[in-house]
Amino acid sequence: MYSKKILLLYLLIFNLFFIFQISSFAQTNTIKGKVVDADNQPVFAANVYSSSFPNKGTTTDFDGFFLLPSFTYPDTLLVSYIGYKTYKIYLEKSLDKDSIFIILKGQENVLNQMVITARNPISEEFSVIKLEKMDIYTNPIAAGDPLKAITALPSSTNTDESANPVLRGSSSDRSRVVLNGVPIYKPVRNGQINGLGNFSLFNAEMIDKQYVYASNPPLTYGNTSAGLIEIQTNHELIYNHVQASVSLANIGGLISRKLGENTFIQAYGNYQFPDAFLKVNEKRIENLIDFTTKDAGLNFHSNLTNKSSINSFSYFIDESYIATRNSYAYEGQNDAQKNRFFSINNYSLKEENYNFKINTLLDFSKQDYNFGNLSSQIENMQSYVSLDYKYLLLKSTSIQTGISYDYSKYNFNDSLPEYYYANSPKDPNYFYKHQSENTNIEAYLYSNWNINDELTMSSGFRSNIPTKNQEYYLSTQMSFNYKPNKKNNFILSGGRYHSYSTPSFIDANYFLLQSLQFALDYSYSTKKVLFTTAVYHKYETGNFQDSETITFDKAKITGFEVFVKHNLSKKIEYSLSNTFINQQVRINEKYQKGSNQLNYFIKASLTYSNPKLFTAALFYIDRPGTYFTSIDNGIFRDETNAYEPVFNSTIYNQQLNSYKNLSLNINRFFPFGKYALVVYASVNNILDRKNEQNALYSFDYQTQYFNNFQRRTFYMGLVWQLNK
Amino acid sequence: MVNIQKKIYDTFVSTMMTQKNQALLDLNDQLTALHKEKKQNLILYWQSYLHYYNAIYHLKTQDKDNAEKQIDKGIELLEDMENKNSEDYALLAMLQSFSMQFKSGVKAPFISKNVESNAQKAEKLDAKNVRAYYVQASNDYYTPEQYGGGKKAEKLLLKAVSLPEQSIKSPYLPSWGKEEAYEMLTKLYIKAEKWEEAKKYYQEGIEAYPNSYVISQLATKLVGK
Repeated sequence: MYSKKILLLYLLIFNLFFIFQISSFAQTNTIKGKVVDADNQPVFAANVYSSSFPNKGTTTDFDGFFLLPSFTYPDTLLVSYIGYKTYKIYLEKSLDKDSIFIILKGQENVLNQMVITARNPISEEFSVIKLEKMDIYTNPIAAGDPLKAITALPSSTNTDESANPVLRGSSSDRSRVVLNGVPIYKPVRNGQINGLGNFSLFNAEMIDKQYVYASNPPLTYGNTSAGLIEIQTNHELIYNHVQASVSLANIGGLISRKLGENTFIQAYGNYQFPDAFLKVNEKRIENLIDFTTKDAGLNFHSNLTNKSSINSFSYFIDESYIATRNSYAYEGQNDAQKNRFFSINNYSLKEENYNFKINTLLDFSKQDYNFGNLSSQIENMQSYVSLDYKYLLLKSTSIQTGISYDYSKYNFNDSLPEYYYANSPKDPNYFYKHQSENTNIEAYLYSNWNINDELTMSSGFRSNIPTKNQEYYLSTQMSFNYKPNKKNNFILSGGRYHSYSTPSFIDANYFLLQSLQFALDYSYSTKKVLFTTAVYHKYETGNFQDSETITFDKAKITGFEVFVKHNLSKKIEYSLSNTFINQQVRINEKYQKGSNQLNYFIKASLTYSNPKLFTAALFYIDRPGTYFTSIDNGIFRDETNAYEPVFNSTIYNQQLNSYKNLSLNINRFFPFGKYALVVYASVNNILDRKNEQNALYSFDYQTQYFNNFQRRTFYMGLVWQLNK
Repeated sequence: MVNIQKKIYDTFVSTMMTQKNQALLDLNDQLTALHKEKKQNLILYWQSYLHYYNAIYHLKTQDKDNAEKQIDKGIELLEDMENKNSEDYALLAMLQSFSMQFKSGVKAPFISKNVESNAQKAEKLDAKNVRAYYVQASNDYYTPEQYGGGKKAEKLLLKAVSLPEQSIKSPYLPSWGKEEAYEMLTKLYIKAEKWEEAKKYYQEGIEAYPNSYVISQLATKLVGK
């Protein structure tokens, strides 16, 4: 009996013990597991703990594994690490499996959203080059001018020393410069002031960013059939700033001032005068006799709320110059004067997932030009309004849509030569009064899709809404950006584009121009090396007025560019680029080489920058001369009492000599506490080479000689700054 | 990697005493080898932090060229890092801010803008990250008034000292910034001759960090005020 009872008691105790054991095992256990992120990469140093004992946790190892020794069920298991949402799981009882696999989700990427709704253009990834203010100041050729900075790029194929953008072999009138969302037609000054040629209308101190689309301009903008330069003025002011400058040909002042937390203004003015510059460079500038320019700009920016802002930029310029000019057998003075005023006003609203902008432009100009029996008075008015709406559709997709209204009017009051070759004041002329206007209304849709981290695709459609007798057109484009890693970047783009020509006294009409373009751009960048290359093909149609006597209607351009920039050391940097352009134009139903056929176009720079001593940049350009049609003979005409030129029967039969230009810019920065002084000097065409600009002839066309680009010229100046 | 921040600091102190930075370089070699094997951003973070201390070492031993090289290396590591978190941005901003002393006057305002932008990213990604505020404050504090500095530091430092050292407690993660924020706040009040506030934050600081050399140094300036 006893033994039975003892046995039962024993069994009972054993069972109780066993049950207790089991239940106690069920309550406290070790948890093993692995923590990874959304890309299945192990998360190191994540905290793993229970909600009841947050201080008795553990951390994951390098491979994401953890072992939490004592976890008492039921409880909540938490895993946390910076940059991720804290993972929580309520565990009622021991896990069935050996270990737990945890995927940490990233926190809402607030930074990505910022990018989407920020002011950067939707097409940013498809711009070949982005220049910031510092890039303009440190550019070896720019002399602080935003558009001059572009001429150092291999995609810039200017052959005329002007700041007007000429991109990838297309004429400058096919490319557009857009400032704060509105087009600025003819964005350069007339006068050749500095030894480096024409300057643009823009001031680097006002500029925040500048995007260059060398070909395939994004269809968020219209009226371009070549490339696009998109410039944005400052949206914030880093510091108050006063600047005064004086140079051989200019005195100027600039003031940047914050007006409270959310508002600032920038104002500047310049007066350019000829005396000192022409005196120093006497005899080296063949044509320029006199010039005067006055200009002033005012930019006002205000953040109305956290989400909305307004910007207003107004600019006025009054310029005049007198230069010697040759036209056929006549040599005389040309006298040019121009006033221009434009005002760009913008409103921008940024919400979490959309962005809305209104951009407006009013642009007036009046110019007088007198030369021989030619007298031209042109008044121009441009007005532009666009509405843009950018929407973040999905995390990876954004779309932008909008409409633009672009009105342009020209009034010509000209006295033009009766005979194109008879230009002296006594030669007959006729009065020509003409008004041309064009209303260009377009609507567009542009989408940008980040397929994955490496691949982005964009597509765009832009169509006109024809007014008057305009023909209907649809511009389309598609682009891919492939970025396999941080160093390599490929952009493949193609599309069809449309623009209108800008009227001039040679032809006062608006012609519709078209182009079909394909381009592949590649870049490789590291801290020390930037290598870019591009290959492209363009097929352009429309009316091309090359001169009074040559018109062509189609052009094929195939180009290849290669560029390398290398920081040899902290102080020394060099760059080297070459561009090849095969330009075929159709004249009288037959294709032949164009004037800008360039078998090479070398640009090289060497920069030494040592803030304690000085910064010096050498820049060298070497390219073949452009082609022109020579005049071989003259026939005397009684009605004009002058010789009429007889052109060679082969168009573009002769070539100017090859163009070589070595220039040097040198500057030194002297800081004095709140003040700073920048002293600079430049020499253009150091080798004093006679680079032929165009052919000139004796009165009977029996002798040919050449007009040259600027010979060796010197320029210098200083800038005084006060920052406070 | 446990208590790595303290290890780096202790190594730095010892190198300052011996005037040889071999120990810092050895530590860097170890981290480099570790990162080769385990591709973790956190290892890169501490490598950058180590470069920062190496730069301070060179600066203190009058070798500006190497100081600049070290800080540039630290900045490069962080700039190249993918998927940066709040701590990475905060450290990047601090290193950039430190690098300004080596850069020419023309570039300084642009670097200052980068510092501000990165520190703001750090704040956006984690509003409780004390280092995000400290770095912004420090940038403002050391930006000369003529460049618009000295206006926001006080507010940012007050925010910094109100936050915990770490939003996620971990011996692997950084905890710097709060001690420095107390020091800078006290200095700021001393400079402005606001003695009551200076004493208040000195007291709070020294209570939170009784062994702090940088805070305790300020005591002499407060005596008799």
